[in-house]
Amino acid sequence: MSSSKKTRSLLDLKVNEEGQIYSFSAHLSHDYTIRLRELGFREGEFVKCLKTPPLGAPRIFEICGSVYSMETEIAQGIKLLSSESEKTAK
Amino acid sequence: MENVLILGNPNSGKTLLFNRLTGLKQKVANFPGVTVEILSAEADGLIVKDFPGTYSLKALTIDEKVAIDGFKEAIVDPKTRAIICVLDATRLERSLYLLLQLIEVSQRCHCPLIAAVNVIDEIITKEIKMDLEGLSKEIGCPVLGISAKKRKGLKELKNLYLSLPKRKQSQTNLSNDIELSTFNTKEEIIKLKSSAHELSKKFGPQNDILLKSQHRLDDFFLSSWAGPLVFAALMLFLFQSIFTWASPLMEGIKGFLDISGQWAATQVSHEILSDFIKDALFAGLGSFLVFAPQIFILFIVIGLLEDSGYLARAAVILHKPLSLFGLSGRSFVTMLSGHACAIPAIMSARTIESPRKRLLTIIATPFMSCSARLPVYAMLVGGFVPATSILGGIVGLQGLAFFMLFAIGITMGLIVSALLDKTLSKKTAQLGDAPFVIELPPYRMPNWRPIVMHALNRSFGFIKNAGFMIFSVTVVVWFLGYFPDHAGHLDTSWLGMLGKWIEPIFRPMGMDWKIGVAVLTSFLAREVFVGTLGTLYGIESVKGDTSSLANRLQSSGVTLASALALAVFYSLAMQCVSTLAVMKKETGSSRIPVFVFIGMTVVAYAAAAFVFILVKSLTQ
Repeated sequence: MSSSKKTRSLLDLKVNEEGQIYSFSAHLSHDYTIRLRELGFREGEFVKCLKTPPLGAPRIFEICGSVYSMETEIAQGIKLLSSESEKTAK
Repeated sequence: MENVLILGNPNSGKTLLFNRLTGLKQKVANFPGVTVEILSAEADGLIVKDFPGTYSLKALTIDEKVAIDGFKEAIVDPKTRAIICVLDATRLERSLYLLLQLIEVSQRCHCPLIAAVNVIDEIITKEIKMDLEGLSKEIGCPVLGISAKKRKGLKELKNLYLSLPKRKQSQTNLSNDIELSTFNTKEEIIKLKSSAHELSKKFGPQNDILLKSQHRLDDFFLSSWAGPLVFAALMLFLFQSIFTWASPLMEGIKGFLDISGQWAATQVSHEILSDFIKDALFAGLGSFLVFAPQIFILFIVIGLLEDSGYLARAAVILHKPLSLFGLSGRSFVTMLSGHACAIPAIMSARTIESPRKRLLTIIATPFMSCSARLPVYAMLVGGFVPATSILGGIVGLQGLAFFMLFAIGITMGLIVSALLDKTLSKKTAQLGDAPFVIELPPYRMPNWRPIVMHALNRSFGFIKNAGFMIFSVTVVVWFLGYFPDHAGHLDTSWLGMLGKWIEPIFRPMGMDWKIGVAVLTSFLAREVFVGTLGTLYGIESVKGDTSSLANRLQSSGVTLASALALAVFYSLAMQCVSTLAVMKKETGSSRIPVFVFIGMTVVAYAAAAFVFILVKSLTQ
């Protein structure tokens, strides 16, 4: 299965849904990818969408015991395994 | 003298620990990025240094660069006795990532490292299990549980670093090592992060009760219906409280100054000296002191918001609306701080990742109505807006007028930012952009004592700093306004002659020469305005007149149109040399502050003239 078929982005998560990080999109800068990994957004880690705040505000995610709000541009760049792949992985 | 370095993630409690260890009262708050410079102070024969927060040893923002550059320099200095890495017990995994990097570097440099796990009181109170001894054995460095807020474990921490032997000359040139380190590679980051994850799972809090309570509160504060309403209510509360809560204190101070002024003037038999005490000291300097309670209340309310953890949520809610003006959600925190004072606010913009948004935030911040504008607003609103309530007594008209004046500054700041974003798009694009990511800290009950102490310090500091300048200006104004014909002949004084010469500049805004002189002197600092007017009307007044400055303005013929024009002028004009200086420092450009000064002055003048004409035509 090709990686494009395997993955979806953080933006595709519904509220209270969890997903496993697969990779980072090439449009995210190197420095930003480093920071995201430092914050816990690393390959293999599970991330949960907690909330879609009002006024089109950036979504809220929980990872490794911390809570972050993240702009669409970044959330789109964090690729997740598809639900089927996650089930296989588990 | 040897040093002890305090490092840690943003919002882990480093500055509160620094305050506890040194006895200082540096600003603390519950959101990331409060400390943007290295702070240092002497305590127990050592210099304790508090570094800005950083998530790792790779900088992404300017405040992190300050921390890491300072750390690189300090770690190779044999005078550095120890590093204290502050960890947040409630978010241990993220804190451990930085600790593991510091362990590696400190071992290379033979520098002792102590891990201080802060906020331990919350873990103990909730009876959550945590194994600090096991963690210490596993990572090979001392781990102490502390609570900077509740002053727990601080004695043990102090004893530990004081008992450490002096360090020998370091063998390692770490400045090169950090550049060459593998902290940048994907493999190294994942390896370290996995270790942090495992350590946190094994030794960290074995319950997510704190996270669950945070989610419950976020369900309310970030909900689609309550989120915007709560935000609007809090902002209205902020401006209402400045006016309502401060009133009794202001009345008290005014009464005290009136009585003291009359008494002091009668104690001196020399007529000129007696007039000087009454008009320059009590009417001039006293006019400014009356407004100190409002400044105090402003700092208290902003402090409560900062300490509760709500500010990060407000930044999230406002991110999208602010991005329409070229700004970021983080710009809100800077702009809110700008309502207290633009100088630290502009420095706090260092936490904004995007250089383009940072510059726009720096330019927009001086439009926010800082505490120095408060006395002018309070005098005009108190004198010209009736003290009645609307909406069934919930909203005071004076508080609402106050809110509108603040809103004018905010609106103009946003418009200027949007215009610059569009018109200078090529230039600002060169600065680069970075997306918005913000950590939402846990909600906490505000810690009253540091907030009140900070508000008191800032209020006294404000009076002290402004006091000297106000005193100097009022002495000059009094001298020029008193001579050659003494009290009661202001029109024929030297100042009167000078004022009438410049009066045509201020006429389009409906201002007479006295207000014109006060506006001119306030280009040194806004606070001077009220002092200057107090002195001028003091010279002119009859003996025993204790009416307020606003009443004196009214009786001298200042109309509602002139008062509103003056208020608008003050809400938009750039009248602070210190703000321009910090702007130059933070942007590294001399042209930007010059551009901001000229631009704001022109906008203020045009807007005030427009308001004067509009209100005059409506009220005639």
